[in-house]
This record gives sequence, structure tokens and C-alpha cells, in this order.
Amino acid sequence: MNYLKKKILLLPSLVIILAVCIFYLHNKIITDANLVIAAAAAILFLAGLFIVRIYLKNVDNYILPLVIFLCSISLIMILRLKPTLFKAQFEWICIGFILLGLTVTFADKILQFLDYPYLLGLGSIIIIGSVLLFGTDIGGNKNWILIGPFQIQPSEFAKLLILGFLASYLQENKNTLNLPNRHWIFLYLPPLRFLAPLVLIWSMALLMFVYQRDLGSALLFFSMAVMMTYAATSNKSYLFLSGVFFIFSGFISYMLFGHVRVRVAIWLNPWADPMGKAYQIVQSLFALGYGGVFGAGFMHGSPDIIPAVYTDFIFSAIGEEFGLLGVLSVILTYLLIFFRGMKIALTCTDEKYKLLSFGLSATMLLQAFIILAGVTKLLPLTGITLPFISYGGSSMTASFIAIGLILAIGAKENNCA
Amino acid sequence: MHNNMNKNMFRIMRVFIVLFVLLIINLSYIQVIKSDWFTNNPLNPRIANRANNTLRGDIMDCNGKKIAYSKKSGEKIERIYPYNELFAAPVGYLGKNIGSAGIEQSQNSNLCGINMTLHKLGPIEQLFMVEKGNSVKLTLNADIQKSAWDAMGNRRGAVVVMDAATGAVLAMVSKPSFNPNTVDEDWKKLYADKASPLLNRAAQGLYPPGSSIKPMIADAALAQNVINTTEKIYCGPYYDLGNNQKIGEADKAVYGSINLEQGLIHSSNVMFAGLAVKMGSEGLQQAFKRFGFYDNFQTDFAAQMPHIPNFPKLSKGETAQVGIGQADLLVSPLRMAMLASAFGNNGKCMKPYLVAQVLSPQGQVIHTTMPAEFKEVTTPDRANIIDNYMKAVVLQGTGRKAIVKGVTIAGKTGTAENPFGADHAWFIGTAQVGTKHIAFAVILENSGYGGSEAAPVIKDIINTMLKEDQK
Repeated sequence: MNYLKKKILLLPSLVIILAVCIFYLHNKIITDANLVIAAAAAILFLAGLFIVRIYLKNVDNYILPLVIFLCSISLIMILRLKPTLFKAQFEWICIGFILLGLTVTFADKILQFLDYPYLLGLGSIIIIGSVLLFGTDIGGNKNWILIGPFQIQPSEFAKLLILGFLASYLQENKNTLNLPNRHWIFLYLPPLRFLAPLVLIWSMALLMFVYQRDLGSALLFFSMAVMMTYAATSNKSYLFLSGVFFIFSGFISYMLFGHVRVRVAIWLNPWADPMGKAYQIVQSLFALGYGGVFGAGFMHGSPDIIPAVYTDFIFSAIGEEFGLLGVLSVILTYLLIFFRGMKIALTCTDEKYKLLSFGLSATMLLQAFIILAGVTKLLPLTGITLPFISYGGSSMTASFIAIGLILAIGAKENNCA
Repeated sequence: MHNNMNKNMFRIMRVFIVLFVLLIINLSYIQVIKSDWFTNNPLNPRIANRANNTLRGDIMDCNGKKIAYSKKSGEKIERIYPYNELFAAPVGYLGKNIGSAGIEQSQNSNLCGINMTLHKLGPIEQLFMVEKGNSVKLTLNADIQKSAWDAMGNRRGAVVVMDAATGAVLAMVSKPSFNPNTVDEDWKKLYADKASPLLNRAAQGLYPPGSSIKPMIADAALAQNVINTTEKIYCGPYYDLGNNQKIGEADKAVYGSINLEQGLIHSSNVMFAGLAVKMGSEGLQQAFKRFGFYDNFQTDFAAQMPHIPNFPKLSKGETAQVGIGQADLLVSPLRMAMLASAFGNNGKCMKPYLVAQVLSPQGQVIHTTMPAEFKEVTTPDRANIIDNYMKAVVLQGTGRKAIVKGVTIAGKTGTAENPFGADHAWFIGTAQVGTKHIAFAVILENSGYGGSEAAPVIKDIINTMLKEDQK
């Protein structure tokens, strides 16, 4: 049984080979370079699995195969949507694996930073601040920094630092934060100076929202802080406060900023301007609808009609070509990764690790939810990447580091136990 | 403390599960329930993209003559309409930048070779991919269409000929028309033309029916017992509504005491205005409801609903006007042909349709349209009575110019006043031509008397059909 299980867990690594065969049969041409890349990817995935399994004792056996499945989907969709980016995406996945290896190897050293919460907090403020100062506008979001030939989305990395900060700060101060020091109506609040870091994160999110027009990241950061605070303190007053803050700032920015009103208007009625402002979301719905239950088939849809299909809207392309069954399997994969991460968090004895591993897995799931709800018109669209699938180096590498941390914490706790 | 944190995490997990359930419900709604709607939405370019890779199927008349076909010349695919204007009204066009209309629009997925049932099977559909779309075989007959077109001459108007027993439309002509081969180039001119050449008058033009509505009024009057077949009414020279309002007979004729049959033969305005007043606006509304004027139907071409007067608000004068097909009543020629078909078909009115069959490029039949009843509008007995009256109209009355030796024709003429110029000439009815029982409606805009102008068009059509039968 165990033998069979291990074999099945290797299967995701073969998705890429199968897809490249289909690609070849359909197009009759494939560049030698892409063929080599596909073979290299299959080898990387298989080798990565074995190495991590041998190298890390008691590592979670499920998370990495699931991640590899998502990466394979990413590679084949990029090959199909933008063959010129196929090589680049593969390189990012390689770098991601290297970073995962480094994270796992130096996990002890890296996790020591949890003892210096303010260092982590300062780091994230510096990163976000530098984006505010030196940010460049790419595709309507002013959240990029250009370093030489590289375009970096620093918020992806700031996310990790903030999670680290929250985990360690909240663990250290959770008792103080829970002291019913001030009783105001039905709210129990600690002294203001303990609240300051949380308010700072919220304000940072608001700044990103207003100044960089990065609605997706702002929503993600805000929810991250709320989730972590609640998990650590069980104080519902924070939930209430953040709800008030959210509604208030949402209302104010709706009144003040045209781009927010436009997004809400598109969400409420995309059919008012289907060929103009709502073009992207309408085409996304067309793609999903055309796919139906079974999908049009790999290479047999026209997802390239959707603008930005290989980044924010890659999910719609999967929905068009693999249908409802395809998107459900992707969604299920995210949920499974989250559940495995939750399992690690729940069994952790160290509270900082517990909070960190929970935060990392929950944030990944939340990020997936925000963009999936956006492209399916469940919520207003907020541009944010789909972890492990969207094209992009920052997102890919940051996600791999996050998985590395989860795996390391899991292995560490298992070894202690 | 540990316990607490774990409990909180579980609570957050539950929120996530709810969120993802919502997400999956929404996705299922998009990809299952709304899938067809999104796929066939005219703004979704996917079907059109696929159509670019396949050769569009042919459109044929009932004898297999090509009305429209696509020809590949090098990289360019051309859509060719060999009959030019003749079939433009029902068949429509396939524009490059102006969309499409008619059969070209309604049968788009068939002509492109897209089968929505196969499409639902997902990638399996690829196994059945075709290089050429399916052909659509229409119920139209090119010879009948041509003789109707020629008989109309240069006059504006429309002709509908259908099979009374099935609802299959044999001819559908609308004049003036356009040439679908050059519709892209002519678009601006056609669009601005006040004579509306782009309008399919046969199914979408609305006209006052004039006296051609009288068979229906006669049926309603018999049904509501305001008259019987033997009762006589003094007719002529006018019907007095009081307040100095009068409805006169044509040419101030005086018919004396006549029964319902003679009233219909002479098309007596006095008799039918009187019957309408006796039935009252409520009785009339009932009759229009019974005859399906309030009912819409879905078929393979676009048809316009009749415009019915607001009965509860009609004055006595207006009620009388409805009895002779004036007032606010506006109907399409198609509806009038359907009305006529009911009397020749034992009171049953069939749903009109244009597509007889859909054929694969190899000629296999993929779909055959089954005739469907639109409504049973009157009893067989009353239908036969009215049918006999209408036969008398042709033999002895205003419809004499339609007579073809050896063919039984039942008809009713109409001369409809309208605010935009000379009267419209109507002729509606049924005829047994060989084995075919046809129902027809002719309208010639601003052309004068229905008897002298519209009836001969039907004579020409019947002669053409007889010649075809002899072949």
C-alpha cells in the first residue's frame, strides 16, 4: 500500500511529458529547445521529489507532489499561451526549487529570525516603502521594482516577512493583547502601543491600495493580519474592529477614487460595457462557459482572446481547455496543500512555528481564492497572481520559499516528537 | 493555550471551506448551467473563430437548388448567393463587419458544423471535427419564390405562401430587397434607405389588414351568436355610429338585405362594422385571443408580433373600425397567411418554419423539422363554413381575378386605408393545387384594390405550381 502510494505521488511529474506530446501532435512543430526544457522539467520534478524525501527525514509526503502538479499545469499552460515565456517560467521554477532547498537546509538559521519580530517588521516596511518610492507602473499596478533586467514584485516577499513578524509578535504579545485593559462598549482592547504594529500593517495595506492601486495585495495583507490576530488571541474585538475599518476605508475609497468605482461598476454589471471596460472579465466568463464540464481540450480553446491570460487570468484558460473538471482539480490541489499545512500547524508544539505555518498555508489559499473569485465574477476583480501557476518570477520564488518553510517546520516538529 | 489556537485555526478553516464552496457553486453555474448561453453569445468570438477554419455549409431550396454557398479562392472564403436579391428576405446575409441576418444567422451553428450536443462532450468533439459545415435545406421553392417575385413587379410589399397542412413556408418575398452578395459595400445606403430594403416585410412588416380580417370577424360573430348563417342584415350605403360618424360601403353601394355569406362576398363594411359593434370590444378581444394574435411563437426566423388595439379603451367607432380591419390593428403578412390556413385546415393553424432539414456534408440527414401545431383557433364546422364563404368570394365576389381553371381557391381581398398614401392591396386565402394545400397572403403597398392588384399575384403563383406539377 505504501509502495503504491509513493508511486502515485510521482504521477504529477509526468503531466508535463503528456502535455508536450499533445502539443506536438497538435502543432506538428515544437522547437528542440522547448523539448529539452520539457524533459528537464520532468527530470527536475522527479529528482526534486526524491532528493527532498531522502534529505529531509519525516517530511510531509503530499505537499511537494501537489505543488509539482500545479507547476506542471503552469508550464503546459504557458507553453500553450506564450511559448516564448516557457523557458523563463521553467527557469523560475528551477530557482524556486533551489530556494526551497536552501530554505529547508538553513531552516534553523532562518527560523531564528522569529526571535526578532521588529527586525522582520522593519524589513517589510522597508520593502513596501521602497516600492512606494521607486515603484514602476506595469499593467495598471504600481507595485513593481526594476533592478537591471529584472522586474520584481516586492510585495510577494514582503508577505513572507509580515507573516514572520505577525507570528512572532503575536505569540510574544498575545497575553497582553488579550488583557481586557480597556473596556469600551463591548470591545476589549489592550493598550494602544500594543495595537500599533497591527494598525501599521492595516495602514500599509491601505497605502498599497490607494497609492499603488494594488487592490489584490492590499486585501491579502489586510486579511492576513486579521486572520493571524484572531488565531493567536481569540479576541473577537479585533474581528469587529477590522470589519469596521474595512467597511469604512472601502466606503471612503469608493467615494474618493474613480478606479475603485469603475471596478465595482464592472463587477455589478459587466454587460453595460462588455467590449470596453468589462472586456477582460466578460471574455473570462466566455472562456469558462465555452469550456463547460469537460473543457474544449488542451490546445483546442481560444483563451488568448483574454488580455493578461498568462498571469492573472490563467485560471480562465485552464477552465476553457480542461473544463469544470480541470478547475476543480486545481482548486482541490490548493485545498489539499492547505489541509496538509494545517495538519503541520495543528501538531506544532512551538507556537511561533504553529502560527507561521498556519499563516503561510492560509495566505496561499487566500491568495488563490481572491484571484479565482475575481476571474469568476464572484468578487470584484483584483489583480493578483495565482500561486505556482501564473507566470512570474516573484510569485513563483516566494511561493516556493513559503512551501520550504512549511516543509521545514513540519519535519522539525516531527523529528522532535 | 494550544488548544485555543487550534480551535481558532479550525474556525478560520471553516470560513475557507464556505468560501470555496461558494466559489465552486459559482463555477458550476458558469460552466454547466450558463455554458450554452456564454458559448453562443454573439460577443463571444470563439464560434466565429472556429467558423473561420471550416467551410460554411450550403443553403438549398426544397429541391436542392443552391441558394447560398461558400467558395474558397486561395486564402479567401467567399459567400455566394446565386439568386441575388430573390431570397434575401428569408435567407438574410453573412456580412464581414455587419453581422448576419435571416437563416444565415439563425442556422449559424449548423452551417459552421458546430453541434452543441457534441460540444458538451468536451475534447471528444475534436474526433468529429469537420472541414465543411452542415447544409441547410429550406422549405422554400425557388420556382414559386421567383413567380411571386416577378408577379409583384416593381411594387413594394410581400408575399407568403405556406403549406396549410404543415406550416412549411414555400415562398417568402419582400420588396424592395437587397443583394446579399454586395451587402457589405451597400450597407450604408441600404441602412439609410427610407423604403427599408433590409426589412423582411413578409414576417416583420406590420400593416392594417383591412377587409382581409373579415373572415375572422365572421367566425367570431358566428361563435358569439350575434348572427347565424341564415339571418339577413340590411347593408348600405353606410353604417351610422351616431355623432355624425359613419362607416360607408365601398363606392357607396347598397346591397339590401343579405346574409353573412353575401356580406363576405361583397365585403360589406356595414355588415362587419355592425357585427363588431354587436360583439363589443370584449367580444373582439376574445376572438383575437382565440386566433392567437396575442401568442408568440419561436421558429427558425424572426417574426413580428401583431399590434393589437387596446380593446378595453376602444370607443364604439373604433370598435366598428376593428371589424373592417382598421383602427389600431396591425399585422404581418405571415400572420394573415396563418389566419387563412386555419380556415382551410379544419381550424388548425400550424407553426410556420423555413428549415426542412439539416444535412451533413456527405448528405446524411442530421435533423428534420417536425411540423408543429401553433393553435387550434376555431372549430372544424365553423372553419368549413368560412372556407366555403371564401371559395364563394373568389368565384362570385372580389377575388375573381385569382381564378385558375380547375383549382379550388378560397380567398378574401382587402383594401387597407393607411395614413401614408394610397390604400394597401391585400389578398389572403387557401388553394388546393395538385396535391398541395397552400395558404397565402399578398400585400402590395399603396397599390389600390386588393381584388384587382393582389389577387392576380396568386393566380401567377398557382399557374407556376401547376406547371411544376406537370414536369
